[in-house]
Amino acid sequence: MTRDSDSTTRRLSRRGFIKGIVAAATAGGVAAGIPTLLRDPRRARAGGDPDRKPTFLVVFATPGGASIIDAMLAIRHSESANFERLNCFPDEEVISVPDSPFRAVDLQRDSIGPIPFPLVTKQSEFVARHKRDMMVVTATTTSLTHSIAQKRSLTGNNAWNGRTLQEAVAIEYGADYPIANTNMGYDGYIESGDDPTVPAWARNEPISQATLWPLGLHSSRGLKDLPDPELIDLARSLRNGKLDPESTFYRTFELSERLQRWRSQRGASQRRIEANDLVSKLNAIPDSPDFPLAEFGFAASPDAARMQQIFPDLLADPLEAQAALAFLLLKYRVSVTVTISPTFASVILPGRQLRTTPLAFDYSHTAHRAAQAAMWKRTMGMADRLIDLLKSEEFEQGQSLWDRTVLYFATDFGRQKQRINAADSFSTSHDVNNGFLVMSPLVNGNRVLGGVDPNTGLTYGFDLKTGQPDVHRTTQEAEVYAGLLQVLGVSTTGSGLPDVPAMRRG
Amino acid sequence: MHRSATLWIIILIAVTFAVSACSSGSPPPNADPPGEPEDIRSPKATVQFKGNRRLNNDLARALGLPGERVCTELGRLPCTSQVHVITLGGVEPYRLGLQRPLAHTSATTPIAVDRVVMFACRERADEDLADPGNALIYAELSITGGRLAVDEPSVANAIDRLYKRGLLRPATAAEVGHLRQLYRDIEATDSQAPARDWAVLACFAVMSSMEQLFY
Repeated sequence: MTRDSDSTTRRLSRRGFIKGIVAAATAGGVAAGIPTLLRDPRRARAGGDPDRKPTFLVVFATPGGASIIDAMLAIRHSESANFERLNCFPDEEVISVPDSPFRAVDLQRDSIGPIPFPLVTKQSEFVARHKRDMMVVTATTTSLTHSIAQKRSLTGNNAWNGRTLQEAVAIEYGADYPIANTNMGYDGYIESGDDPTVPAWARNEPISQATLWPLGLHSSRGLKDLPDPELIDLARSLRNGKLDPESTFYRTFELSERLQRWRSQRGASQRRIEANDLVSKLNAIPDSPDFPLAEFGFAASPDAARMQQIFPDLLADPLEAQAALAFLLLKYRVSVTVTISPTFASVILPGRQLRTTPLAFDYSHTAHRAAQAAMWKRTMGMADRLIDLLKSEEFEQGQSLWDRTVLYFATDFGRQKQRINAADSFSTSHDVNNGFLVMSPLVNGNRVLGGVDPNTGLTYGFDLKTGQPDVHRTTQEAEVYAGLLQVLGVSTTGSGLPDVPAMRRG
Repeated sequence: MHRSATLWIIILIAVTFAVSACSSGSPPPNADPPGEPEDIRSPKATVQFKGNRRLNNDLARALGLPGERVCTELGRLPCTSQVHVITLGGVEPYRLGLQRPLAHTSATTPIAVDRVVMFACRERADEDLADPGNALIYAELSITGGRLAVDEPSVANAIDRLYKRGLLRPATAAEVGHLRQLYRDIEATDSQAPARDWAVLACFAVMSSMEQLFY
């Protein structure tokens, strides 16, 4: 035996030794009757078929009330007997998009109400480009309180035991995803649902800052002068396998659901997030004096340059950062559902660029027309870039990510339909009557389900099966909720939800 | 008749005493054998996750650090009051409209906790090892060439201080044994500074235990 090999025999290889220790600690945990740290119990609890291909849900929340009659269902002066008292537009500002039932508002103003920033919108470009994947579903909702209405737009007003759309999608498709349901929403849009049967892993993972959140997806990367990761694993194994389960504290409170969840989250779930190197893959921000990533050992995502090109203001504009992160979360199969949203905080960039109005769509209380125009512009512009990205990324076998994605523009409610004396600048309050924009190759595209009465500005419903307009009915939140889940292929068996084939393509 | 009844009562009392005496001499068949751990599980088992502020305050107190030194990201961003606020159970009423903490710990909460505790423990360990005379936890350790004399009583004392400062109770003999073994495991690798690595990681293991994080 050579001296070297003798030395090797005496001194175990580091990796082998650590693997042995970790395995022993894990086995000890199992023997002690605690759940194994390596087995993820999600599969057993997931409701979905593990072999089904996922359909992804992106919720683009539009807080404050995105009024559908300020976009796809806009009304011209010449079409309404009440145009002086109704939210109608000069004829030339409402564009009819060829081969489509949709309209678009293209307008130009010198200010956004009292805010002296110029505004130019061209909704027609967006609608012309995406009309085949666009569907408007008229609806009459049930709350005029922002946070309540926002949550109801996700739960269909508790249509399925309080389960949100995102939770339903996560349960259906997300069992194998590290963080199935990520949420960058605002107020009611970032809340979890109320269904107690939803497993912890399908509940939303709230993200407060899209730029910084990825940097926290590893327990030691980016922290200087730490022991080697293998040694950290030793300490974690000791903690998880011995110190915790043997402690009087744990043995006293081991029936706690919170402690059991913690054990599960700190075991296989945590390792899966770290092992996937999400801390790098999702990191789209550039190295800079404010964010000295390289100095701290962070690596950039392979997509960082592309994200910075498509979203050049992602450090200054939170919605750009959210859209970039949303794409990366889907691309790297981290989540099956992602929620993004502007907030009520205004976003103003140099050069008098008002990206988000104060209170977002709710700035309509001050200046309805300009606020709606500015925020629809904001929404469509971001959606346009996100859709292009999803189209550019292959899912598998020639299908793009976009081919399997539903983009739902959730909103709180509509806005009051009235104005005074054909005013161009007027204020509106909240109104439950409105409609939702949904975009996907999977929806009944290039369709308005329902319609709008040009003399009242109120939308009306449709036959849930045929999609034929029905002026005598309005669409309920539960029907929109059910229709969306069915478009997404989520099994609603036993839920009592109505069948809404009119929302599905083909 | 009256004398007969009295006799029966005396016999009954005598039998009762006899049975009682027999019973006290041996355990009932269903009793736990001596030395077997009793079932101490709380049926209510009501515990709460500490959340961002308590976590920061408790680590600051236990490790003798100013609150702002407990953890920063990228050298300047406070972990518990800015970067990982929501993940650690805080609220963001103004920016996100999130007015209530999450009802549950989320998928990334354990990672954020590990980062915060690791940072704080590194601070404590490095300060103690750099100035052993004024060490708060790792005092009087015998370290030669980066290696620790792990069987010395000073190691047990340091572990005990970790528990008393962090969990407000003494360490058990088993816990001391486990953490000594952690050192041996670290030393068996090719760590260049096993004593320092152990000081950071022993603190990390204790300060990120469930007993520290939930109350």
